[in-house]
Amino acid sequence: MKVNEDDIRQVAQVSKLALTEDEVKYMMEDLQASFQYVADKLSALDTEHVCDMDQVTTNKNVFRDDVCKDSLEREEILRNASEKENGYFKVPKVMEGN
Amino acid sequence: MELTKLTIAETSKKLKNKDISVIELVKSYMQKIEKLNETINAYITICNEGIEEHSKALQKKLDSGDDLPVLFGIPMALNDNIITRNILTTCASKMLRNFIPPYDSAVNEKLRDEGAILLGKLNMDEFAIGNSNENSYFGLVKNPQNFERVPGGSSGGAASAVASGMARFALGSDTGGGIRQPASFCGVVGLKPTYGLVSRYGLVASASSMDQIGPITRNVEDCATVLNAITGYDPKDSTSANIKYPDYTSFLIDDIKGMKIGIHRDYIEKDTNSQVKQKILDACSILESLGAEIVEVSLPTTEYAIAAHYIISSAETSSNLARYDGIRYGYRAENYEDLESLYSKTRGQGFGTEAKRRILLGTYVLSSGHYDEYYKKALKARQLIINDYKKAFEYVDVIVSPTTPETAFKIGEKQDGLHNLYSSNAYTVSASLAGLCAMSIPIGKDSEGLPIGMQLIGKHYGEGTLIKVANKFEEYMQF
Repeated sequence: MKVNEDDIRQVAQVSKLALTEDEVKYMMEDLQASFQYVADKLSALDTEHVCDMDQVTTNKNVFRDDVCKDSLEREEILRNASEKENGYFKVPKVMEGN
Repeated sequence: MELTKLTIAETSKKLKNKDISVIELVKSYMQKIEKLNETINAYITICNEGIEEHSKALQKKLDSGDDLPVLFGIPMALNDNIITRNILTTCASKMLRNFIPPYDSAVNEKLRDEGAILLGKLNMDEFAIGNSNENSYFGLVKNPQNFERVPGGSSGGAASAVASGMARFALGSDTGGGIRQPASFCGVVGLKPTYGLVSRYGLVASASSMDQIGPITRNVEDCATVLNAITGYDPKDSTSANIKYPDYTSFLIDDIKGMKIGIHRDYIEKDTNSQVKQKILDACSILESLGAEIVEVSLPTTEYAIAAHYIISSAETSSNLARYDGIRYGYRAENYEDLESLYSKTRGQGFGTEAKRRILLGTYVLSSGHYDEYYKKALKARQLIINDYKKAFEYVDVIVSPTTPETAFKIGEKQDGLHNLYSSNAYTVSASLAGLCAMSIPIGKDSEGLPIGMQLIGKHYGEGTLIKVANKFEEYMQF
């Protein structure tokens, strides 16, 4: 198992993470080393008859009633947005055309 | 009399007897912060504003003679990944450097209801990723015991603030040792409660299946007192435990005669530094002299814990950090061409190196070609670790080990990911994977004067037992 620069670029792209060329190189070297250790270690462990772990609590199917409750004020929510307009979050145009 | 040195119970008594006032008390902590924070950098935000009026209001309540909770008027601080309404909550990240939450975390609400006073928000590793507090957008934190050393992490600010008297107690967060390792490095008490014991509502998620909030205090009694205040069922956290919560201070008077304490040889013999090892063996002899029986336990799969934890925590972190997109809150890149570049530039500029590393690794192990080989495999390893502990706890009440294989390392010594991986969380991650409660208590110092911590691991909801053993040990050390 060897992570190459293209792997890093591809994973960075799906994680929506813009990396500089230096970062790509650094991350590749770094992940190669640490990932190698992790992968080697785990592959030595026999897990053939082991179930996947799901959760550590004994909680099961935690439901709540579907009722309306007060929510936060719109202004309070918008306070942290870097761009807003007329009570909405503002984002670059997503759809093509007019 | 130095007010910052009094325990919670002592402070509370003095407040109720009118020996001191809330105003005086808060002032003495604020003076400590003023004197030390510039060097130690434990606080990201100091809540100066309005604190005098708030103290006066609390004093007025005290003067009315009502029966008030023990935390009433006690100055404390919170990790900066614990949401505080109308108070900056940054997670030590550029991404959230201006984030003012519109709501409150469950723990902050509980502490405020008790009358505890929030002094400020504490420095940490960005998004609780790291174990040295060197990964903070707001600069590194120094260990108050030795300024050339790291305080540990991720809750490095919390441990150093409590150790240096800049807060009576603090709440940190622990995903693989984030409370226990810094507590050990700074010579204070740190408890990671059982998964589900403390509500995570309003804790900014790092790795959700392991994150827990817990107290960092100067002694075991304070720890039990704070735990009482922050535990309880919370319908807003679907993993919250709906159980009968005991009074944790009731475990402070029990003795430990006949109790079975397990030790795991690998955690003492393998990579542990010789001074740490000696202190742990001494501590075991002390526990034995107090009436406990020391029993060897076998936890063969815990040697895979670091690898499993690295994969699972990275996977969960990568998924949790996906929400930071520059739209609704948080940093947004200045120049972008379209939505796609807004996202990727914002995230490329907003996250620090360690966060990026985890996002990449986490996304990689969750991607379709690698999911079975790494993520699923790690989940199976996790199940085996859980089984190991289950078996061990059929025979013993508590398992002890060093909290860390070595004492606090030097600032800048372990910067790369590989070092982080091998080093100081080797003994703490397995309890996180298994959801068990675990605590670190100071048991002495090495030849350089650096604190050494002992970890006590308990069964699910076994906090009382940990407190019992820790308290007995602490009592013995004080004689």
